[in-house]
Amino acid sequence: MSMEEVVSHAKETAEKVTAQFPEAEVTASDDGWVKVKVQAGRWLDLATFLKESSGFDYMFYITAVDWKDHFTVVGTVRSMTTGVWAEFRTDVTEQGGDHPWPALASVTGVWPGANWMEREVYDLFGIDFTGHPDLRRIMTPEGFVGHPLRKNFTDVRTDRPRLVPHR
Amino acid sequence: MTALFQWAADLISSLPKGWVVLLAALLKSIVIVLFVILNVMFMVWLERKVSARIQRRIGPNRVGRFGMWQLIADTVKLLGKEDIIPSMVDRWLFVLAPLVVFATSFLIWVVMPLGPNWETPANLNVGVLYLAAVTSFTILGVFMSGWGSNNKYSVVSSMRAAAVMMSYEIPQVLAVMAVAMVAGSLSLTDIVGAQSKVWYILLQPLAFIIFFISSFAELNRTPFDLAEAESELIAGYNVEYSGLRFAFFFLAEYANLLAMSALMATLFLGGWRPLFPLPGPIWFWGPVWFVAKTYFFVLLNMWVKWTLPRIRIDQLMEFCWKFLLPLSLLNIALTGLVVLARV
Amino acid sequence: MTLENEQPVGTSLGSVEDNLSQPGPEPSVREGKKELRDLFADVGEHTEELILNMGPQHPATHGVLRIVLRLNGETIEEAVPDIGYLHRGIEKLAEKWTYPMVLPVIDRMDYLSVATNEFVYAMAVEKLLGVEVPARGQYIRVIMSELSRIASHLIFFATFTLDMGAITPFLYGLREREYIMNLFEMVAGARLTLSYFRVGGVREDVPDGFKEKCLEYCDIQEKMLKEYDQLFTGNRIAVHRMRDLSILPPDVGLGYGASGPTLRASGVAYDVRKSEPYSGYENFDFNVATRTEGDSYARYLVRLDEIGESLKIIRQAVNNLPDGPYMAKVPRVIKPPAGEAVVHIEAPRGDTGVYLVSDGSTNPYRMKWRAPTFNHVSMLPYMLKGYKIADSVIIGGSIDVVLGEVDR
Repeated sequence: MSMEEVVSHAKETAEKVTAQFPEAEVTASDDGWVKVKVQAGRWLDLATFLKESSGFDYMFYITAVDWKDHFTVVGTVRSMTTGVWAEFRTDVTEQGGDHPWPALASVTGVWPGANWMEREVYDLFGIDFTGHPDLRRIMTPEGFVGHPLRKNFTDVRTDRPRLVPHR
Repeated sequence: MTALFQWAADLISSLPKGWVVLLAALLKSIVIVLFVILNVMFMVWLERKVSARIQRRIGPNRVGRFGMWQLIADTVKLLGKEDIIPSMVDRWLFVLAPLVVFATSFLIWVVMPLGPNWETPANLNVGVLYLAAVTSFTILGVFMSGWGSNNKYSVVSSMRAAAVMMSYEIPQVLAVMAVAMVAGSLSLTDIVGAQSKVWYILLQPLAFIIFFISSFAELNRTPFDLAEAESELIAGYNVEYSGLRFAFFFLAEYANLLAMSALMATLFLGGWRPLFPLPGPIWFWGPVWFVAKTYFFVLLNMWVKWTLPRIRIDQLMEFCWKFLLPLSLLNIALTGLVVLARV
Repeated sequence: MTLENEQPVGTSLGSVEDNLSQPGPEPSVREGKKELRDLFADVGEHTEELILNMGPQHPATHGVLRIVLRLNGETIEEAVPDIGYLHRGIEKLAEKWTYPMVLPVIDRMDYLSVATNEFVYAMAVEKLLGVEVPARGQYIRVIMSELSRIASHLIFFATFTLDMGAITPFLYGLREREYIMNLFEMVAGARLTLSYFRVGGVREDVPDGFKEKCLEYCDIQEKMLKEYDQLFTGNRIAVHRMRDLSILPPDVGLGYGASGPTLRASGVAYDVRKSEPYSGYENFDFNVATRTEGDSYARYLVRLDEIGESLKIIRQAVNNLPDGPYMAKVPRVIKPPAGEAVVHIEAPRGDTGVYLVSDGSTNPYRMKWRAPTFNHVSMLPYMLKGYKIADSVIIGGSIDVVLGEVDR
C-alpha cells in the first residue's frame, strides 16, 4: 500500500479515536503514525478500541519513561491491514494510601504480547498493572529490591562484596 | 622353539582333563576380550575419522600418525580424572551400572563363530535364544544408571531406553527366528554352515531390513538415539558419569556396535564364508572375511549415524508396533509357508 | 558513586538515602506478588507429574533460556519460560553514556547479527539529529546487515539441525558462516562485535577487493544452499519431526507481537524492508519469503529462503555501490534536540525497534530496545503446550532465540 493510503488511513483513525475519546490528544503525522494521549483511567478503553474498532492487531511494545515526577507509559501497535502505526500513551504518578506505587490497567487481554511487556515495565519501573494474569519480576532475580530503570534507583544489595573499590 | 612347544604340549597332556578345559576356556576368553578391545579402540578412532570426513573436517591428527593414538591419549585423560560419585545417587546402582553395560557387551561373543575351525567358546545349540537374552542385558545397565543417578534427565532417558529397547527386541528376535527357521537350527555355527550356497540376505531380505533397523534402536544410535538425546536430555542416562565410569559406557557403546555388526554379518552375510576364493588356508581367510563383513556394517552404521537427525519417541514406538512388528510376523508366516512347502 | 539528577520520586518510595540506609521493605510485602516457584507449588501432590528444567545450563536451549516444564510422561502440560539470566541492563547503561558510547554495547544485544543492531540504533540517533546518510554509506550498511542476516540464519540452520540430533549440518552451517566472518574482519577489523556503524554513516570505507570477495562468497553460498537442501531439508525424518509442529495462527502471532520469519511462516507478509523501506531498500529487487503453514517446518524454510533473497540484495548492492562519501557531516558532540524517535528495521529475527527519548543532553534519556525474540519467547507457553519434551527444543529453536536480545 502506498504512503498516501497509509496517511489517509491514519487520519481516518485519528478522527475515529477523537470521536470516541474527546478528552484525548490525538495527532496524525504524515508518516503514517497516530499518536494518542489519554488519561490513565481510559487506558484500557483506548487499547480495546484500537484493537477492536481500528484493527491494530500487531503488538510492537509497551514501555515506560521515568520523568522523575511522573511516568509515561507508551504503547505502540500496528494495523496489518492498513499499515498505520498507533502510539498511545498516558501519564501515571505515585498514589498515596494503600496502593502507593503507580498503577494502570493491564492490556494483556487485548494483546497477549502485552503480558511480558507489562511484566518488564513492572519489574524495571515498578508500575503495577491491575488485572494482569501473572505479574512477576522478569529480568531481575527473585527477591530483588527496587526497580532499576527508575532514575532514582540505587542498588541496595549488600550480599555481594565489591571487589573493585567504587569511585 | 620346538622343544618349548613340546614341553608345553607335555605339560598340558599331563594335566587333568578338567584343567585342560579350563585352560582352553581361559585362553579363548583372553583372545576374545583382546579381539573386542582392540577392535573397539580401532572403531573409536574410525568413527572420529569417518565423521570428520562426512562433516568436511580432518579429525584427530595430532597424536601419532593420522591421530591413531588419540584414543590412548583420551583414555589416559579419562583415567586421570577425578572419580566423582554425586552425593545423592544410589551408590550401588551407580557404581555397578557401567560394569553391567560394559561386561555384558562381551557375552555375545561366546557363541560367535569367528572362523571355520574356530570352535566357539561354547557352541550352544540354543545360540539364537542366548543372543536374545544377552543383548537385553544392556537395558538393565542403562536402567540402573538412569535410576541410580537420581537425575530427572537420566530417569526420563532410561525410561525411554527401556521402552525402545524392549519394543525393538521383539521384531529383532522375530527376524532372527525367520533366519533360524530357514537354517533349521538355533546354533549360529549351523546358521553359518547353512549359508554355504547362498547368503541369507538374499533369502531373507525382509528379515535383514527389520534386523538392521532394529539394531539402531538396540544400539541407541542415531536416528534412534533417544536415550542419549543430547539436545533435550543432555547425555541421558550417563549424564552424571565422568572419568573412568564414563569411559566404560563409551567403550560399551562401541563393543555393542561391533557385536551387533558381527551378528548381522553372521546371520545375513554368511559369517566367515568368503565372497570369492583367495589363495591360502581358509582358517586364515575365514576370520579376515568375518572381520571385513563386520566392518562393512560398522561403516554403514556410522554413515547413517552422521547423516540423519533423530526421530521422536512416539514416532519411534509407532514405527515399531505399527510397522516393524506386523512386518516381521508376516515374514515369519511367509518363511513358514516356504519351509513347509519345501518339506 | 555520584548520583546526579537523583531526586526522590514520591513520598511513598523514600529517597535515595532511605534506600541506602535500610535494605528496603521486605520483598514479599512490597511486591505481594508471586515468584516462579509459587507457580509450581503444587508439585508433589501429583505423583505422575514431573517438573523438568530446560536450562539455563542446558546444551540445547540457545543461550541461557530456562523453561520450566510440567511434564505428564513425556508430554508438556505447562511451560513457563524464565529469562533474565543474561540481563546486563544495557538500557540503564545507555542512560549513563553518550550517544556514540552506546554503539559498541548495542553489539551485545543480538550478538548473532550485530550489524542490524548498530543499524537500528544509528538510525534512531540520526532521526533525532535529522541527519541524512549519504548513498554510499546506506549501501554499505545494507550490505553489512544482509551479510549479518545470512550469518544469523546460518547459525539458525546449524543449531536447529543440531536440536534434531543431526550433527553434520551443524558444521556445514558454521563453515559458510566463516566466510562472512572473514568479510566482516576485512571491513571492520572485528569478526563478531563490529562497532562499524556510526551515527551518520559507517566508520570507514570498504577496503579494496571487498567487492570481489563478497561476490565470490555469494556464489559459494548459493551452491551450498542446494547442498543444505539435499542434506537436510528433504530428509524424511527431519520433515516428520518439523511438520505440523507448533502451528502458529497469524492472528495469535500478531497479538503476541511476533515478527520476522516466525510471522512470515504463518502467512503474514510483513517485512519492514518492503512495508517501510529504509536506507535504500526500495532500490533493490527481492521477494519477501512467506509460507502459509505456520509450523516449524515453514519457519525453517522461510529462513533458508531468506538467505537466497539476501544474497540477491548483496549482489545488487555490491554491484551498484555508489561513489561519494560514506559518512554524513555530524557534529563532534552529538547532542540531539529534546524529542522522541521510534525506529525499527527488519533484523534476522524480526522487527527490531528502538524507542529513543532525548532530553537535549549528550546522553539518551531513555532507550527502549524492542527485541523480536522477547515476544517470541513470550509465545512459548502457547507454542509448547501439548507437545513432547523432544519437541520443546525444536520449537524453541524454530523461533530462533538469542538471549542477549531477550534479556538485554
